[in-house]
Amino acid sequence: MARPLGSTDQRLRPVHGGAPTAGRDRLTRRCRDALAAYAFISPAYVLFLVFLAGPLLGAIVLSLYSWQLLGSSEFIGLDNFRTLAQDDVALRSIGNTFAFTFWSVVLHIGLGLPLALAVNRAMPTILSYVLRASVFFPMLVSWAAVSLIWKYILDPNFGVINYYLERLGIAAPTFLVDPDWAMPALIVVDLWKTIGFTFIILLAGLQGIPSHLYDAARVDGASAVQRFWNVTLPMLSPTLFFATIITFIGAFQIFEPMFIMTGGGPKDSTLSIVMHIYETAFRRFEMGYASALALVVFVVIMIVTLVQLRIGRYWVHYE
Amino acid sequence: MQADHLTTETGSQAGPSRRGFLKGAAGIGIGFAASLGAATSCSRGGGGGQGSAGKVTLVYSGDAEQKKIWEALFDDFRKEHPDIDLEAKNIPSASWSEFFDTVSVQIAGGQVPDIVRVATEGQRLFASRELVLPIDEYIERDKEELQPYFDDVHPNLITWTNELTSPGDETYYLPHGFNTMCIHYNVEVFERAGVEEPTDDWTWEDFYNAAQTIVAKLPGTFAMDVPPAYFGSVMPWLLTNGASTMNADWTASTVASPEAVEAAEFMRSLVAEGLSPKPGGEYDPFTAMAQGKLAMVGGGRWPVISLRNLKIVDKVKIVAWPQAKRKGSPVGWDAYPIMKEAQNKEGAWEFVKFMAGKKATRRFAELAGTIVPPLRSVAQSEAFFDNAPEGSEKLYEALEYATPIPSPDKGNVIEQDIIDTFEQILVGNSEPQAALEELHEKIESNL
Amino acid sequence: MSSSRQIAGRWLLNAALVVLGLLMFAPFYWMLLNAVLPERLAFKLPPIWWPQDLTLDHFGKVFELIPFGMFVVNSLKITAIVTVGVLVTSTLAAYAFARLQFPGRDVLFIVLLASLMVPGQVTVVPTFIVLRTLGLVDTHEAVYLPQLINVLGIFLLRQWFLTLPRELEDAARIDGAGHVGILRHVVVPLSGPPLAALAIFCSQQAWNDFFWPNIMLSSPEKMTLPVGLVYLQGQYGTGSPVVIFAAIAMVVVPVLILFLAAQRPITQSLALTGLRG
Repeated sequence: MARPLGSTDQRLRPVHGGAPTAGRDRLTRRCRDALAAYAFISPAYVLFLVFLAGPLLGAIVLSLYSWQLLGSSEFIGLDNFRTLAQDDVALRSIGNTFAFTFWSVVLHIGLGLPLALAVNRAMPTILSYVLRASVFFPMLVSWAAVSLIWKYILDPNFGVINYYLERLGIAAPTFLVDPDWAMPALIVVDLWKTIGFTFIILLAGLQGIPSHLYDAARVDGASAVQRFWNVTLPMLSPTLFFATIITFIGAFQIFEPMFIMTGGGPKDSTLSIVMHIYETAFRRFEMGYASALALVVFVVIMIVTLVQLRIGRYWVHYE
Repeated sequence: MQADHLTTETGSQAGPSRRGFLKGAAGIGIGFAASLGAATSCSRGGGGGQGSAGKVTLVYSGDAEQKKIWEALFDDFRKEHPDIDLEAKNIPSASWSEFFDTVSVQIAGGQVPDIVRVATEGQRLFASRELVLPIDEYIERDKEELQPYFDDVHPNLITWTNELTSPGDETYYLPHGFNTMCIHYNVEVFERAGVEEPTDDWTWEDFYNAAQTIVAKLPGTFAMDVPPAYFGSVMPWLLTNGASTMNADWTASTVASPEAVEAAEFMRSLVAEGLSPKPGGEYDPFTAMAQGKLAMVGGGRWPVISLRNLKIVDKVKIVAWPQAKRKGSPVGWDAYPIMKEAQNKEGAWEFVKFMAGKKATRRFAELAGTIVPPLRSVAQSEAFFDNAPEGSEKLYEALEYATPIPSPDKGNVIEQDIIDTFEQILVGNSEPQAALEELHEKIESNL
Repeated sequence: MSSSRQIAGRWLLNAALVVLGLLMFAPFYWMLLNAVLPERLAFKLPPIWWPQDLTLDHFGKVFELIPFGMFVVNSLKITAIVTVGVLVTSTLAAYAFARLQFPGRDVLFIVLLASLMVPGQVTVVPTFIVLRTLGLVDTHEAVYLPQLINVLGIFLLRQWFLTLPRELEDAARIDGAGHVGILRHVVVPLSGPPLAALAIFCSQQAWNDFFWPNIMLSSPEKMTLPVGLVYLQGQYGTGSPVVIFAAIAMVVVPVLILFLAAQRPITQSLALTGLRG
């Protein structure tokens, strides 16, 4: 509501009674607003400080100490990080995680995109519905249930996979016990569980591409492949970009399948970095070293995301 | 009468283990010096000594099935000692190293139990971490009450405890039940395959031939389960070939000896030729046996519960492990050490005495407790033989030729390394010679 | 103009997609089937794919082995607390950031946003130490308290509030409503979509969470469903895994039913929040 033009500032809308003078009333209202604001954000902010900001600082501080939880702590500066650089198991876990993440992203996009394209055409509604449901449903089930189911599917003695492979004449490895096959098996399980997400995102992205662009391309005589390359991909690039980053961040933090299905073995081949952190903190109680490891995870995710943002400028096409 | 006793009962399942976690040397140095002067007055049986009233928490390894049996036994204790509130928690574990890891986590989280049931595999571990209370004074004080125990318990258990798991002047462990390894076989399967039943003198060759015949004649059936379990599989095969993971006083590794490699190769051949199911999964030998799909399984006393639940007790008989160079069996015994940080040490001690007593031992045997009773009178009585496979006496007899399962201070790490290595050998991913040499190095580095 | 080749191609593709859909669901189907097959048929090789001789026995056995009922109650309790808690804290904070002027507003908000970049594992160890110091190990408080703050929720709600027309709020203010009143009568009623999405997302996360409850909870009576399932598997010494599968079935089937009933809102909410489960 506009104030009467030309009036002096003394005439404010009466809010809560009283005879206000301009400046003071505005100030009081601002004070009240500010107080209300602080009150409103305080539940969230207190929780934030106690459970997010505080621990983040705590982790940084902890990483500079050596502390076994029940004993005394000792300030050792950057020694944890130096040890890390030499720690075979930690390095192995980082390597494993990168491998897992790389394949995760490649497969998610490599399989998710064709799938989204396939579903994006005209098709019987019932098929579309069933497909979307079955691809997306694993996302909703907890990792605990999923890991246990797959543990038995991949069982060497009564798992169905080994059985059918052998029927086909392929000497099936004992997946979860074979150092060469355990991680690939987990990658496939993770793919099965989470591809629904990438699929939905990409599908939404595809559906957001204005059809007139395709019409124009068709008029220009572009083939299907050309249409894909020149219309679909560029228009989808923001979504692809988003999906890549999200998939990366999620895959890098993978924990449950290795914890439940293989325990990080065999021979540390499925030890992910988060699982290594878990073991360091909650089995060996090396709180300082675990914090250092966690900070490394943080930094890696940040760097890779920034790099992706950088590279993104070259291939992501914004309208 | 030196009261240095260590016994552990190894209820190690024959199943494959998930990877244990505690690998590093980082200890949980809960080195709180405990005062021993708690008990001064005499405590004779019955309602327990002075100051024993209150809560006692006990932690033991066991799954849901075994829990029922333990609870029945604990109820007896509760009836006898109404002033002691015994709270028992079971921790299912695929291996003793996993059990100790879980217990360590709980201790670190602030939940210190009063008693932890510790098998041979972990006795040195706990002692070296200074987690357990010396009980010499208690034993001395209640000497008379414990006399029947000392008279009846097998002397080997005492000797082994003194020399191996409780070296030094202090006693931490009072040996209780134990387990040895023998072969449990399904009579019906042998009958159907037309193979003669095994005897106590049979050799590896006899075993192998029988196994091949069974598998050939009964498709879909396995001869024997060969999992990568330390107590339940690796040790019996090594010992019967004259090998072992370590030397007699557990100071050096012998796991890469030619005899050991030979044993490993034999075990691998059983898997490779389809005589044994593949390790690394969730195969359950007892269910398979009940379904007639498995001829033999190794075990001590603990299979009895499953056999009873599956109602095949009278179809199963026990014989000694087949021998190559000698008769062999590992032995592990359990104990109920009191933690240094225990809140109710007197109450805990009452429990220890209860378990050592003849009544509890007999009751546990009747219930099909997971161990062979250490008291001769019970082990050779109806309580033990009733509703148990024929040949159960062989489990006790094995004490004569059994070898304590090597369990030095870092036993949990070593056990896990052994399990991991053998898993790879059995599955065929590693060559026995090379793998055992690597294992040898690992064990040596942890001794 | 579609040629016959195109039609054939389309049908071939559709057929392939049908197969894919079936394969994606196959693991669940196998699990559900083996949960109701009698022991002698379950896990048999060659595998049985058609229902035969179905039995409900295994479900009873689950309750004998583990306090499954307690798991459900615990999960419900924690999920409810977390969901309601997040909705409340996020709504309040988002409103303040969107509508109110106060010193430090922008800085405080950016600090919040920055925390989105920090992966959960960094805060796990110190949070554990804090909770342990407070004596909250093995309690439900330890599980839900850290989850009551959801920065993403604040962000999303703020975005939404910014798009709401101010007139309605101004009108309410003239009528004498304070901020709480405005929230109650104007803002929240208009924020159905994001609140629902946030609620769905939060409850799904809390219900399925394994990592954090696994660290904090050790007593079976306190466990949530995911932790309890893994615990069951460990407890299970002898016998066919049918009992484990029965337990898994009891966990999966309700989710399946919920999903089929509300597929659209669920998928949309998860896509909206942009975070994998």
